[in-house]
Amino acid sequence: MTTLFVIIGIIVVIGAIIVGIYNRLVALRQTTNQAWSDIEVQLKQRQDLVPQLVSTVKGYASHEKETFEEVVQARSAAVNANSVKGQAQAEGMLSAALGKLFALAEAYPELKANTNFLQLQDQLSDVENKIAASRRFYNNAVQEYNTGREQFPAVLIAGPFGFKERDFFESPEGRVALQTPPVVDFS
Amino acid sequence: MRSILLLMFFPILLLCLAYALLLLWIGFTSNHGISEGLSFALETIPTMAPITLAVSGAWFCVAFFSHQALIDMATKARSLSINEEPRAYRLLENLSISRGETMPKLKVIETPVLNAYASGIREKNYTVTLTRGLLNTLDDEELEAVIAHELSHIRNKDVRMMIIAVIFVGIFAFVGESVVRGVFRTNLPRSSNHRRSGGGNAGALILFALAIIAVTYLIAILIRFSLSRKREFLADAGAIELTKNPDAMIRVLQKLSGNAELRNVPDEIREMALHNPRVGLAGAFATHPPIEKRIEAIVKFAGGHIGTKSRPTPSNAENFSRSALKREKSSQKVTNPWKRNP
Repeated sequence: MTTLFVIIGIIVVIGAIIVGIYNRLVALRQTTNQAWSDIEVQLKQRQDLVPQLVSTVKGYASHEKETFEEVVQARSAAVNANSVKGQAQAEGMLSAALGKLFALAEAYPELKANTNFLQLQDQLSDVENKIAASRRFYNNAVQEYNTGREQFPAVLIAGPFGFKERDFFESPEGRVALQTPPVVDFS
Repeated sequence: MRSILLLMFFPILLLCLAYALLLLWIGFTSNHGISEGLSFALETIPTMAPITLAVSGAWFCVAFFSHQALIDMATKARSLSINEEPRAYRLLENLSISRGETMPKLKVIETPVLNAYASGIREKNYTVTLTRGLLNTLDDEELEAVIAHELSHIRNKDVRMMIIAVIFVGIFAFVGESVVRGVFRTNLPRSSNHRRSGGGNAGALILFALAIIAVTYLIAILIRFSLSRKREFLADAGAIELTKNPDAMIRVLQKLSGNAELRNVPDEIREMALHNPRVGLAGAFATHPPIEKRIEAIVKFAGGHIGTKSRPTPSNAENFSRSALKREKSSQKVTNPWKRNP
């Protein structure tokens, strides 16, 4: 009789531990999901700003076709990317292309005096900073989640219950860039 | 956890206070002896307890729902919009994003003093308040460090604790002060001509009650102080973890030293601030660790360097002129809001 109770007790305790671990993993995964949607909001905002920027610049520098094409291509790649790694890469390319576009605008004084252009520039640099911030949040959450699912008892149930490892959202410049938000300075 | 335990002391203190008030009342109105009076008060306490709790509950509710308005009134803080102060607003916004938290409100006190505080109990009314002096003298990195420090207070739930503690201590302060005033106003003339003062016994009861009140008041204050001192180190650490920039935090603290005294502001708010330079009896009543200690801790544990230079960034300088321009346009004079008009 007592042995039966002991066995039942052990089963209950183990069950409680498993439930606890499972719930913690779910909470961590939920945070990474939330962090990712935060990033997506910011990325979407930047993608929406790009066409406006291109059309504004086009009015002043219509013959710089190559740069425009590069920006447009990078944008559509960023819009269509669906994995974390692919998204990070596409966004890196978009950043580079935008950098080129802004560098090009240096040669057009009227463009630099255009209020619309200045406003877009301001908005883009704001969005860049926000992307950097939400990237920090996302990477923190991913790190916590990955650590959580690899730690000892959790690792035993993470696999069977389908807690997959998450990718970091790494900027092409590497992880150092996470600590210093990109400064878009065209003045 | 420790803070929650400490907070649980308040109801107990409150009952002690009720007991003392009962003694006081007995001492003034009847002719019981000391032991008689004490036991009578003890018997009455169970019936008094619900009333005590109800009154303090009502006090708590009022304070809970209007604390922000009260604080703003006391400090003359006003809300800031993104257009008015884009730099601070965006720093706050980005730091909140990188923690995945709702952005607190941003407020400003128009004073050249350098200080800041966070307040609020619920997510909806968390607020970070900066002084104009802070906005005007700090560079981006330093301002970020300050805002991160206040965000850490919010994240560590210190603000909630502080405000709740302040509300409770407020009860003791209120009772203590009114009793002291009442006693000095009414009892002294009365005892001088020995009318109705009930001989020596009532006087002893009253003294006893006053002693209890004094002790509860003192304990309440000590609890509140111990709540806040360690937290400053924690918030500094949290800020550095968030910004990865210990040097900026050190520069802020150095700039703060000697310039942080919020004058004409209630003690309760000074205790919540970034730094509170007032130090009482042998450090027991200090609410904040001395600045040197904080810098020392940052150098030791976060690898900070003393003596780095502020670097005003171009955007920073631009914002200065922009906000200065705006101020000129609206012809709003920036003066010390606490200055009394002659």
